[in-house]
Amino acid sequence: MANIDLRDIEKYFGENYVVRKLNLHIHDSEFVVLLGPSGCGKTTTLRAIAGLEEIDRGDILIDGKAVQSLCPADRDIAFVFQFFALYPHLSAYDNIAFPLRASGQDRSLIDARVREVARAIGIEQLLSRKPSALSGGDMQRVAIGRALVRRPKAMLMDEPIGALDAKLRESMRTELKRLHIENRSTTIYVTHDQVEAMSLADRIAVMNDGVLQQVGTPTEVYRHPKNLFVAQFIGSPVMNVLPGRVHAEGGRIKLFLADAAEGFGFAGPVPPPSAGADDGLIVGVRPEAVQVARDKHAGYVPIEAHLIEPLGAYDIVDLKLGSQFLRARTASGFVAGPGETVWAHVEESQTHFFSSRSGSALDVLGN
Amino acid sequence: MAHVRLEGISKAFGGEVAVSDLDLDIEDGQFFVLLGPTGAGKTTTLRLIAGLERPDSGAVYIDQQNVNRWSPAQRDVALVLQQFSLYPRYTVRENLEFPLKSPARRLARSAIADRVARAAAIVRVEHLMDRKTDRLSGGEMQRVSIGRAIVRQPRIFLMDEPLSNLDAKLREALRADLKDLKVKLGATFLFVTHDQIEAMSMADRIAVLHAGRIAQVGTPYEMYNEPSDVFVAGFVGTPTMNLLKAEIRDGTVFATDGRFEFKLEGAARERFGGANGPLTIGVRAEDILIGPHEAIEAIAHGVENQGVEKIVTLRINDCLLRATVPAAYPIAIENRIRFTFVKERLHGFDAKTGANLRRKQQ
Repeated sequence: MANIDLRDIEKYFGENYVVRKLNLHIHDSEFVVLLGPSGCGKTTTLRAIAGLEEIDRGDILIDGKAVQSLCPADRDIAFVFQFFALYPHLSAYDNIAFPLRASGQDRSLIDARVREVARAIGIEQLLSRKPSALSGGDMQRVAIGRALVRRPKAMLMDEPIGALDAKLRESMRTELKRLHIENRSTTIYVTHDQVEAMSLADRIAVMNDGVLQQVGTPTEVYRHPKNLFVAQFIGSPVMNVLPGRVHAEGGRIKLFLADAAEGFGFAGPVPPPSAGADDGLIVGVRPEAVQVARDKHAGYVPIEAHLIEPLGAYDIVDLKLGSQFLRARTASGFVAGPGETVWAHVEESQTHFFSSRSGSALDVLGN
Repeated sequence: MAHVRLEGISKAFGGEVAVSDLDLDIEDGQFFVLLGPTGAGKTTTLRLIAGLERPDSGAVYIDQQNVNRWSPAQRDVALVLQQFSLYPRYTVRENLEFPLKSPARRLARSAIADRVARAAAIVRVEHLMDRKTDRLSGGEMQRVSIGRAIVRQPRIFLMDEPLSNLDAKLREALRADLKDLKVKLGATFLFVTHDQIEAMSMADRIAVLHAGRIAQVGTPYEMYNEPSDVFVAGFVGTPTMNLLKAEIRDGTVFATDGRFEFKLEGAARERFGGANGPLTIGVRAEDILIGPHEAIEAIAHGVENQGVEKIVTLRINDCLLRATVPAAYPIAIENRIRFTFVKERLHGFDAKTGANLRRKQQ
């Protein structure tokens, strides 16, 4: 178990930054997910911690000790990749035992450790099998078992379940989380899949273009995104983002989105008039925060449904807002078909305001 | 616009059967999706319709004409693939003009300009017309690829995983664009994907393929709510449908691994076609209700916060079930909880064949 401290990490290829001024503190036994699109610098960061990649500037500290000049083996860190690098000629048992044998440990001790780890990851009955006789999920369990058996200070994982099918990914997510709760080894996990990040992380570090965008619990990054990138990278369907205008008249506030003629009645806090005065506001609303009704309600606006995507458990309805669309999540079959007019409103407590210039979230009055 | 019909199509490569005795009917103006895992035969089916493969047996009909001997060009279909095949040193305009400049078409300059302008407006690339395609983003490139299919005014659009290389945000936007395109053009679309969300969100009708055969054809609603067998049940929907081994005796269901039981009544009993003995029960995550006074006890084996909702994995002895609850619902790993099923939404599948018992009865 270990604290990992990244201080002003920088890495560049020629003129181009891969990672820029990255500062991140990972607490002992914490599960941190580095999340971002391909090319955002997340894997480079992970490989730098493992010692597989040199950094150009900054310090990597494990338990307060700078390790950037240590070779990977001396950092006491285990690495699990997307593609299970198992020895094909060795049984699952021998694959897991391999790191312990390599360090010349006692036979009975090795046996006890292998069986303990196998029990924890639920592969006791598969120990005698060769990798070729294992399913993808079981192979990845063996790879994780081999990482765990060393009792490393930290586990680093790079998209370890990215290559598995949807059903297996779902169950592996649950198992990885339970494994972490039992073992409590400090874990850094890289993925581009926000569902994995939300499911697994104690904290998520969102990266884009080599720059750390936000660090927070899944609830924090989902409910309080710091900028437009985080707002639209986390959550599915993607958060609606539209130019907006706040209009106060006789103590009542109306929120106009896109070029729609009618504004929503808005009873919640809004940014101070100065915040978006010059270059306008961007308003963000998640599809589940768009309230849709069949009848007229105060503050609701009549809108025509343009498209309906039936996703089974719920529908996504594209509502026509001037020349743009506002996507709403509704109960399955709630809006009968395209062309139907419904009444819509945006939920105040889940409406986000961003600066159209910087993309940063704006503070609202009353908060 | 065209009607496409496949009749008893089989195709093997070497000894490997790719599709086997396939019947398919794609109506004029339909958005039809072929859905299935890798190796199910989706792409082979698409290539057979395009004329890039010849069937070993069976016939392909376009507008009632047997086209088995027709070349791809004669079939007049447009293909859009996962890898955008644009000419990198050409501008967007030149890429869009290209299919129309073929000498076989003999189109007047003004007609070409007109078609290109209309296609560019439909796929929203008008502002990019003079840009070289290697300077475009992935989403823009795929829109140009689709535009290049549109200018040809083909009888059918064939699309093979065109959204797979794009990020989530772009995929969502293009899903809506394609659905919109179908409405605007009134054309026939055949779209191949392994992604059930794409299939559900865009299709008028879906055919689920499994190991070279059609498992089910139906609307997205039917696929989700009336799966014909355990394969479709497990492939469509996320989280995936819970499938548990069980046994029915006199209207009481015993879950074998979970070692718990519950009664079926009325409509719920009918859905199981009066089955007795072993079967597989299917239940969707949203059809499990969690509450303090529900009938069955479980342990929270896993809790995932997805922002809009939480996915809770319930453990009842050796049985794991996934349920969805609102995001604000307070629940933590290893909590004791109680649950029940929305019984009239349960599915029963034959323990051996996997067929939905309700459909078998009809």
